[in-house]
Amino acid sequence: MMTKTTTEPRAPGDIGTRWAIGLLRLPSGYQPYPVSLRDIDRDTEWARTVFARLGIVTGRPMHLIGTGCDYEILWPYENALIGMKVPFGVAEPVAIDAPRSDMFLRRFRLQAVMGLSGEIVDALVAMKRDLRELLGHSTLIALPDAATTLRAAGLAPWTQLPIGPIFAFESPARDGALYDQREWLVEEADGELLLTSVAPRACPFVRLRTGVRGRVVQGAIHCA
Amino acid sequence: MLELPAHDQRYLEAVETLPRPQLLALQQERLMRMLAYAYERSPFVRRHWDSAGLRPSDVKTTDEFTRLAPLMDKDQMRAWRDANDDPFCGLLCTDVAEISFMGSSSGTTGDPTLFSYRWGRDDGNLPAAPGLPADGPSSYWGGTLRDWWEIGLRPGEHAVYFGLRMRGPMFRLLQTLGLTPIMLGYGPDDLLQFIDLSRRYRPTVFYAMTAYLGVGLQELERTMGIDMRDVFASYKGVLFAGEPVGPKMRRTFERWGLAGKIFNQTSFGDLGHAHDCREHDGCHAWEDIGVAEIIDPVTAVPILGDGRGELVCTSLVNPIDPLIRYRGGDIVDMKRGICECGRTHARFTPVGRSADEAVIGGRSILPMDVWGAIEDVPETSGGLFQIVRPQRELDRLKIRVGYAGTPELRALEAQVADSVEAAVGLRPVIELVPNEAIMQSGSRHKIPRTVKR
Repeated sequence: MMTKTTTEPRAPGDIGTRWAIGLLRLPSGYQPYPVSLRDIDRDTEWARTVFARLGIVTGRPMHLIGTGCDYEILWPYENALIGMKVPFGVAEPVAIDAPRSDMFLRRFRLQAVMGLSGEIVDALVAMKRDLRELLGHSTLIALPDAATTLRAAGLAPWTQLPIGPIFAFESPARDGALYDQREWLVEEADGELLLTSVAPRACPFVRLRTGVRGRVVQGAIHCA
Repeated sequence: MLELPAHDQRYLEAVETLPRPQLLALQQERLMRMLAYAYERSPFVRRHWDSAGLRPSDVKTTDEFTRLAPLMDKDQMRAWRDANDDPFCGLLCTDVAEISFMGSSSGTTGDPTLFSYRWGRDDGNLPAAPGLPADGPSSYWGGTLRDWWEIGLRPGEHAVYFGLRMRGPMFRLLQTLGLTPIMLGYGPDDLLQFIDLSRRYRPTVFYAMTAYLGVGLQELERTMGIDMRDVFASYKGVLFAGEPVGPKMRRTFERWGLAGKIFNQTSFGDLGHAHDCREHDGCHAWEDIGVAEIIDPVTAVPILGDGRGELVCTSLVNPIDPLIRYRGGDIVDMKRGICECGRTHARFTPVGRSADEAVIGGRSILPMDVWGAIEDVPETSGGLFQIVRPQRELDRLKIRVGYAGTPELRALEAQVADSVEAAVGLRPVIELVPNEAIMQSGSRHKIPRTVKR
């Protein structure tokens, strides 16, 4: 006898209210936090605006690098791409997974590569890859530890800045990173970025110390 | 839409216990449809079958299919890929834009190959699109949902998810069954968090356990005196994926109160996953999702009925990149009788990979043959080892073995060699390295058990 349906997760008391338990890895220690489907839906909306700003278009493959253990942060970006009908290949941002990224980069003409980490870029260099040849035709979105190397190679990446449970994105013009201000407020105290949730998220944060050094100018984040 | 049965029901779907004649009729009907579909749309399949002088219309039954259809393997797929500059190896049956997610193989034997998924809904909340048969499982992931339900996972529970991304977002399957995943990873302190969160949320399943994590837990028990029986008290299942659990590590988990709760997730010939059930008598090969055959790994002659052979699989539901008589190199023991759990589908037990077989003086050695012997030595009880296999035929057995601590290496070398010799009757050459050297030699969920040098 069929008694319960779980594919409509907004039902009261159902999985929508506890979509996942994530784990923040902060300099001050680890902090588990719940995420609701409402949070995921809102973060997916934000991710769509990010991809629109990046110029991502339907039907052309891209590469999305990120860790499975951060899926509560990463999933909205995957969700947005699914909705936009953008095929994406996946890999983890660690050196040991670089051959997987290398395969996607060599075998596809990717419209974008997001989540490039320092470990991946260093591994590609160690594999004697020409970064300009491999990445030059794609829109690049790189973590801070990779952005410097990419710039040194003559590339102009966007910066994907992790701030606790969110990402902020800064254009190649380096005019400050933007974040989802409908859900969050980023402030600065003593040179450290603090994060506060301003919407009814499953786990409210109040001036969360993120350990990220930077300052906020007219709503945009400038990292140290 | 997936509807879940009552909590006390053992099976998720009626097809799990379909009488075998009906099951095989359903399989044949789906097979004929898939052959026509794949031949029409997949350049690789069409060329491969044309080369064999065969067309789908020449095949009327599953029996004729297994006698007549050509086998395919990864080398042929890679050759197509390189010759045609086609990352999908000629297998893609849809427009690229219809794909949502591209995962890939581990790449231990060459450039990784792709497997692709399509989503059921544009909001991303339905993890799998309908498969080729409208009345069939929602996708090749349908079998995983059945397996996890049988293990006992139920709505409202928590699940520990040590997941990597390359095989797809498996946490979505946990959510489909109504569980809340707790996202953990391979950071240095994540195992401590696992212990804390297990005590706080009392999860019922650990997905996916590996030798890497198992060694870490043993170390925490040894150095911090953590009561692992308490940590695992709520668990209905610990799922090993990537590679099976070694005999000694299995005993360790049993000591932690998990006897009968250790499950093996293995590849169903790259069509999807297969798991053992609570009877632990082989992993279920869902025959409404795929055709599972075994062949002689050398002659490629089909082996009828039960026995040991190389697994050959054909997808029945995958509309994206179906594999047709794909031999992936997995050596299995196949059983086709009805399982004690009541399901009627075939099941298999992996015993190794043909690419891992070493032959020394005519004697065949697979990693599983030496695994327990290495684990039996305290300093190498993590079971972290690799057979050095530059080619299949070897003059002598050489094994690189990881050790913990700071043992006296010469004595340990002799001790490990004695243990292996007692197990397999061959005196091996042992090369000792720290455990970390082995763990860093491959993906964290899967240690390469053979290396060329």
